[in-house]
Amino acid sequence: MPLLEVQNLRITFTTEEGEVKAVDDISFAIQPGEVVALVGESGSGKSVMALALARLLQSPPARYDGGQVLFEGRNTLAMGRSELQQLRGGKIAYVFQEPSTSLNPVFRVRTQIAEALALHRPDLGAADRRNEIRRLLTEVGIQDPARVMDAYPHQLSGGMQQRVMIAMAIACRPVLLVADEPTTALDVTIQAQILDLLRELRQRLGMAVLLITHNFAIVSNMADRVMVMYRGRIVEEGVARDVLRKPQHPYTQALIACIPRLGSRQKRLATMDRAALAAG
Amino acid sequence: MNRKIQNLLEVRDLKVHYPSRSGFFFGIKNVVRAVDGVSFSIGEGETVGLVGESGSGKTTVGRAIIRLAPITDGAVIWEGRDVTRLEEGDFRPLRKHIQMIFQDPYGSLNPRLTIESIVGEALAIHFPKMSRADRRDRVTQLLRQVGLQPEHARRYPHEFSGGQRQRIGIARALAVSPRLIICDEPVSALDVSVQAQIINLLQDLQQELKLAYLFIGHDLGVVEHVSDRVLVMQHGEIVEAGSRDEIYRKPKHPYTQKLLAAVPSLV
Repeated sequence: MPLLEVQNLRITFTTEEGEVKAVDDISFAIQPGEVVALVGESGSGKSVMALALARLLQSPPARYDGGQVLFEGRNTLAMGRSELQQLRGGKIAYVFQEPSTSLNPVFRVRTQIAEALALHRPDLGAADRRNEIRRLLTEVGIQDPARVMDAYPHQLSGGMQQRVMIAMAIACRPVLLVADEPTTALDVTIQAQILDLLRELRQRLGMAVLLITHNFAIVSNMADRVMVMYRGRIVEEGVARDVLRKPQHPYTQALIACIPRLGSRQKRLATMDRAALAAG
Repeated sequence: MNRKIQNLLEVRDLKVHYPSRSGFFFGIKNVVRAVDGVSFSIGEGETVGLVGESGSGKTTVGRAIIRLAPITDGAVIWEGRDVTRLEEGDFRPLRKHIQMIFQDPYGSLNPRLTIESIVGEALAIHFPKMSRADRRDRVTQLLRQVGLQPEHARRYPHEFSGGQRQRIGIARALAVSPRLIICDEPVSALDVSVQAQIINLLQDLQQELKLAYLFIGHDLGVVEHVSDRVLVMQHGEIVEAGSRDEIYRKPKHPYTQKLLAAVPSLV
């Protein structure tokens, strides 16, 4: 049985300019331990898709118009409040783009991780909890967990903050980690470190990862499969390497062609003919 | 390449230091050396890429050139003339020659002004004798030049997409016919498909108008694509400078090597 199965999901947003089909009849599945990338440009609906999995969208303006999200066989869209709360940050954990806005600025790192542990692993006593926080920070590659535990978010660099976010995410031993643009706000050398960390954690912990990104380049050495999202639909899906080497859909082809690559020395960048895409 | 490039801009040993107060109740004074002895030049019609990670000081270099950041020491030389310590009134004519476009096309356009006012503002300042009708014609021409429509002149920034707003920013910069444009991460906030359009536009304009660019960026692929020469900055200093080939094919400095190695490759 797949870990996650999205069936014919449709989500509409009501805006001043009318209704927008952010997710337009999407179906896909993720197997346990699999890394799947969902790639798309802004407005494609990829983040809406990610948030919908644990029913995290504000409604209104969002409206679930149909379909279901089966997580371990149970429809999250039909779950009650307390069940959802157990699921979020429990079996499904999220890591977002901006660690500085996801962390609470007025609490020390240890307090924030402790909160997650208290909620999802109440069996741990105070002393065990402290040890567990230290262990988690070490697990995400933090060399001096004692210092970081007592730090406030603003005392940490962006890369360190993202490591703390990941530590919080894995604190409750999720089986699915949804990483929404986890490295977009980071410098390229830090980005490489965080991607290495995610890869390593996935191996060690065996969790599945849904990686949401606009950056095709980070997909190739991270994901098993890739899905390309465009205007609320998945227009292409396949083994990551195949999609990157031989994209089939005109949108995927255009999206890959317009990226300036190191050493390619094109005279002019390819651009996308949106009118043709919309018509075709 | 026998073309003799004459220096438009020369930056000599530029330093931008900020006092920083740290410790409880701001007791201890420190100095942040945002830019610490940077020298380079830009020739006519040339694109010089400036790469570095956040905090490297690359943006401050660009801002210091047009006095958006205070210069602590060093010199900015425009066409052989030291302009570092000119009074603002004497510096103003230079602002016609050096323009800037910014990363955030949302934050750098006044939301209350129409596109015509935004693009025409610089004309009003630098060419006060220009008639309203002439100014309107010039704005129309500029909008066409950057791929927008004349009827866009009457609209407001929020009515445009990110890529269109960057086009507006470019039209505003072009209004006074500059010879150098400082491009501070001009495509970093854009989707890759839009990024490609803006880069192509910048290159077309360069051809057409013989513009020089100081192209500040963190995306090494983009900087390689646009640059003739590249400067690599770290901790306020230029650690390596060279032609595009020297930097990308034979990087010498360990930091440049590390940066290039960190770029994820497609496939």
